[in-house]
Amino acid sequence: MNLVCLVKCIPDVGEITIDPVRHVLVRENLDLVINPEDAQAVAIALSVKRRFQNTRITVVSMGPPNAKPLVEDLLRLGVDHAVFLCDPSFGGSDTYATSTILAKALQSIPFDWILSGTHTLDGDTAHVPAQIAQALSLNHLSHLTAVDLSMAEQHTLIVDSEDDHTITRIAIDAPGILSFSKEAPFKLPYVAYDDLDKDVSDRLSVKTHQDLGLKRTQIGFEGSKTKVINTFVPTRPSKAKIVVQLNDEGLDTVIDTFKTWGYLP
Amino acid sequence: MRILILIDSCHPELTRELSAVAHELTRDPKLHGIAFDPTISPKESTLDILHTPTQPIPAVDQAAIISAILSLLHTTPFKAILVPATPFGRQIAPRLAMALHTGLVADVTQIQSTEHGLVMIRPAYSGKLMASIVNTADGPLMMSIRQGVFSGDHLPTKTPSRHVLAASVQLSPGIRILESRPKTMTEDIRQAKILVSGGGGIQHHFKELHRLAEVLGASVSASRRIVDSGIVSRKIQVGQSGKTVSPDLYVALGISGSVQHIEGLRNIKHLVVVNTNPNAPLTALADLVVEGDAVEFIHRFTERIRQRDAEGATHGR
Ligand SMILES: Cc1cc2nc3c(=O)[nH]c(=O)nc-3n(C[C@H](O)[C@H](O)[C@H](O)COP(=O)(O)OP(=O)(O)OC[C@H]3O[C@@H](n4cnc5c(N)ncnc54)[C@H](O)[C@@H]3O)c2cc1C
Repeated sequence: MNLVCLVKCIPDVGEITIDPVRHVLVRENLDLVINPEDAQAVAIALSVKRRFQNTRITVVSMGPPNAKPLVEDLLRLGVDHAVFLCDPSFGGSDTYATSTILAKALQSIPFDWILSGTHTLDGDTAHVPAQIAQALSLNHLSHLTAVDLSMAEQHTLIVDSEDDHTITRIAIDAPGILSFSKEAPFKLPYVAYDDLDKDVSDRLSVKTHQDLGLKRTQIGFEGSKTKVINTFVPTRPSKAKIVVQLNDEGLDTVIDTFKTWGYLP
Repeated sequence: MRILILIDSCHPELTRELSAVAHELTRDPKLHGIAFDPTISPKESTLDILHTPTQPIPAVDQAAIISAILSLLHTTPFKAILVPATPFGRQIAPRLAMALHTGLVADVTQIQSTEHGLVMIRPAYSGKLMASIVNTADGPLMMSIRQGVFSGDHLPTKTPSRHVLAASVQLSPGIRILESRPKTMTEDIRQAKILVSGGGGIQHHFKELHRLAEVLGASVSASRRIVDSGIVSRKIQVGQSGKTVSPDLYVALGISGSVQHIEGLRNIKHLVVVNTNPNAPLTALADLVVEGDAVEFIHRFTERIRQRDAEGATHGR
């Protein structure tokens, strides 16, 4: 079985802070992390490989040069091959251009299944897997929380897709794209200590737009269909905040306020 | 101006919110809707025309849904296509945008007409930053709209005329729904109107929260600190690695307000913070801050309410 995992390395959103004076994001020295839902997709692929030895896992990731070590770590965890799409001219790509680039790369990789996360923490558009599915005319399911491999050898997977209210069990035939959600119970292990410096360069191919046969007009700002013209820090409507001490007077205020808001009769 | 609205058959009520966006886009929009369940009721509608296929298309069959939409667009061009930012809408919209070679902006919370044309504004980086985005393609303007942001309450109710799509539906053979069941929910904190939530500051007395919950008719939730200590199940964790909640009232006791926790708070009407530290980060977002010990607050507050109720009962007699 050929599995391809789509992986995005993102700035560690939890660590992002906002400069209180200049009202901009502090981006310096921001560590990159693997988008958690994409890490789950890799964890699932590794568990499939443990069960079916003839599984071959390829990771495809597009990102800046400092994402490369993270991709290498995936190879140290048991991923067979990685295609790292790294080219300054990919910069500025919106989801349309990104999907065009990834779809092009996927055309030269054999796959039965493409696995990914549903959302990324940084952009959080959830567009890319769906757009790749459209570009490659594939079926696509997202918000997946479970996968049943009992029919995997017949090229069918049985998956659970969850929204807020319903769990839908679906059988899907290969080839297809499966996007997992954060509720899925798969975790990527840490790289074993002995493997930390393992050389994996022979299993990593770095590709540029020329390697993929893409024109400059298809990628980056030029290939995009949307343009960010401005970003700003949201100003929360500064609320008339009430601060009270925990004493009788303070409690009076709390009770009156709850009454005004309609939570107490 | 003709505008197309995608209808999520699980959330037909969002059509009204999307119609409000259409009315912000242009003064007198001609509103078309497209639904994939032909039995959908056009009642309480804001649409002029409702398009449906000849037979139902299951939500997971995206390819068939895209063909149905494309068959409509083939005969009827639209200036804009609005999609609800529900799981369904957010799966269909990107495919459609790709097929139409047009731009798509996700989870839009605001639109503005400017010298750059129409600007769509959306949150990025977990809402820490807002991005203003324009569509640079020639195709229709496309966006998915965050639910609960735009209000269409003022729009008149219409009875749309029905139009059945001419193209026959080709369902994808590669996808079969085996079963669909409602989630069994032992009280889902996402449904709660009032939540009392506890964190590290009330770790050793977490049970006391239930007393407060009882007098307020609230459900109980927790920060990850409490979940990681094994005191409560992850099912009631609020935050980035837990659930996103939108109660009217959120009372946070002994919760500092880490970014990961705040990530789980959406559209909260009233936020009350009880904390010994009046400068805990969460107080910056609060409507009401009580500076003091969480357990003492619960005791004194519930006691006051009990007294009040007792007095009320005597007076009533
Ligand atoms: C990847 C990642 C994901 C995460 N996801 C989540 C998540 O989903 N949800 C989540 O909550 N956290 C999450 N966290 C953890 C988060 O960073 C914080 O560690 C956590 O939210 C802290 O919980 P707390 O505020 O309850 O506890 P603490 O940080 O211990 O804060 C305790 C607060 O109680 C106050 N206090 C102390 N004593 C009292 C008292 N007697 N009475 C009243 N107040 C008192 C203190 O002033 C302080 O403000 C995540 C972290 C990471 C790295």
